Amino acid sequence: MQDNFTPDVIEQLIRYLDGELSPEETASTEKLLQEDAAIKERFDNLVAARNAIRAEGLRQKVKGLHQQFYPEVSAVNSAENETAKIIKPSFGNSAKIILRIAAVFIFVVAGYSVYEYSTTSNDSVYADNFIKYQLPVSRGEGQVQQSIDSLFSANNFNGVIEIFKSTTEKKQKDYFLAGLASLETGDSKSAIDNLKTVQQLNGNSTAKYFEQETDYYLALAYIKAGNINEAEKQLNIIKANKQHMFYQKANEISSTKLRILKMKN
Amino acid sequence: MEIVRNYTDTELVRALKNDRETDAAIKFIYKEYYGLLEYYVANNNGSKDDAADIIQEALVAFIDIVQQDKFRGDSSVKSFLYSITRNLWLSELRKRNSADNRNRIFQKGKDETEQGAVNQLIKNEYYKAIQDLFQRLGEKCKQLLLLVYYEDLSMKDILDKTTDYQNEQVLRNKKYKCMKQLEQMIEDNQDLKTQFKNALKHAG
Repeated sequence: MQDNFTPDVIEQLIRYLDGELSPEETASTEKLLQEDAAIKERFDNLVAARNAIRAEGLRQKVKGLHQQFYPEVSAVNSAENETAKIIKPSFGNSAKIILRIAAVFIFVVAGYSVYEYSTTSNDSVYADNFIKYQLPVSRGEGQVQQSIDSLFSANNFNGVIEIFKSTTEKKQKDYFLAGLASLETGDSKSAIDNLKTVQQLNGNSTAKYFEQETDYYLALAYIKAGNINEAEKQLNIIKANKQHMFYQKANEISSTKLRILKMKN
Repeated sequence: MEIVRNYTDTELVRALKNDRETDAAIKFIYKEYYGLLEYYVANNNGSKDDAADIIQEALVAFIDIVQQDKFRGDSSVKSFLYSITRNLWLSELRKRNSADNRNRIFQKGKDETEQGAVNQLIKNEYYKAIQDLFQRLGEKCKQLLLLVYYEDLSMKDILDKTTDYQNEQVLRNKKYKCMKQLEQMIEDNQDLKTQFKNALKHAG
């Protein structure tokens, strides 16, 4: 573009912009700016140039400070985000872990329950809790009694049952051993009958024989026969007496398993 | 991160007008508001690099407004900075999406305060174009003009800082020459002035 201004006019405008003119020169320049739009426009260019240079200086300063401050701000923000990430997913992870543990627990419990349910039976509970009865050594008893004791001690349970049947005068001990022999041979019904008879005889007599043993083995006989309610009644009698010789054993019989047996029966 | 002094809005504005406190004030702005401004840009189709550019530009505009005593405090510094950043970023998005992407078009301000900021943004856009012309000057010219108009140093102070000039008159002549050269480039670029006037007219 054609420039009609002498370098001196532009220089005068620069000096005016920078406050380097004398008061007289300033007055004449201001008059010129008011009267001449073209000169005013050139002066506006100079003002814009000065402002742009200032803005450029400021931009460079901010850019320098940005390079200085941004890594710090970014590090703090990242740390905060990281914390947030740690906290939030941490909660999620904990929840996941808890859920996993719960799932495993449920799975194990469910599996165990299924296993228990499927493997628990009258015979299994009976077998788990049956303890072989050892006759105490006694002296001075009759021939029949010697015979039934010997057969019982020799694990000849069928022989015990036969002798028991052929015996006319039966005492608590005969019924008791016959009851245990019936249990050993798998005849839970006869076992129950014989052991109940022991209870009846003991109830009618001041002399109690095999009373506590009968409580326990009758409970086992009921379990074997699938009569869990009656078994529980016997067990509760034992559990109510801490001095009962089968107190410990009665408490070892799993109530869960008894409930399973009830459901099954 | 070292401890950054806390400022109220009034203290912050005062600090930005004081050369010796500007750095600390800018650092406070970074600490307090950078995350918020970055979040805005990053959540409106911008990247972190976009945010860095726009926030720096917003900061330059804000400091310019403050230093010209045009910040009246009708809104908080936080809101004002957010408003500038938002306007700059929306304008940048429009520019990117526009077929005529040479210039950014700023949104008209909702109130007088915002309108003042919008006008300043338009001027800054014009200044950015002049800065491109400024970059075409020689290194000595650029350095001298920055010392004169940004650092606001006297001829004597500049003479003390550099060995390039024999005396004040030589220095002064160099300044005139550099300014004339830049002014002539602006004068020769009529499109620039027309766009600037149109932008101001459109925004007003």
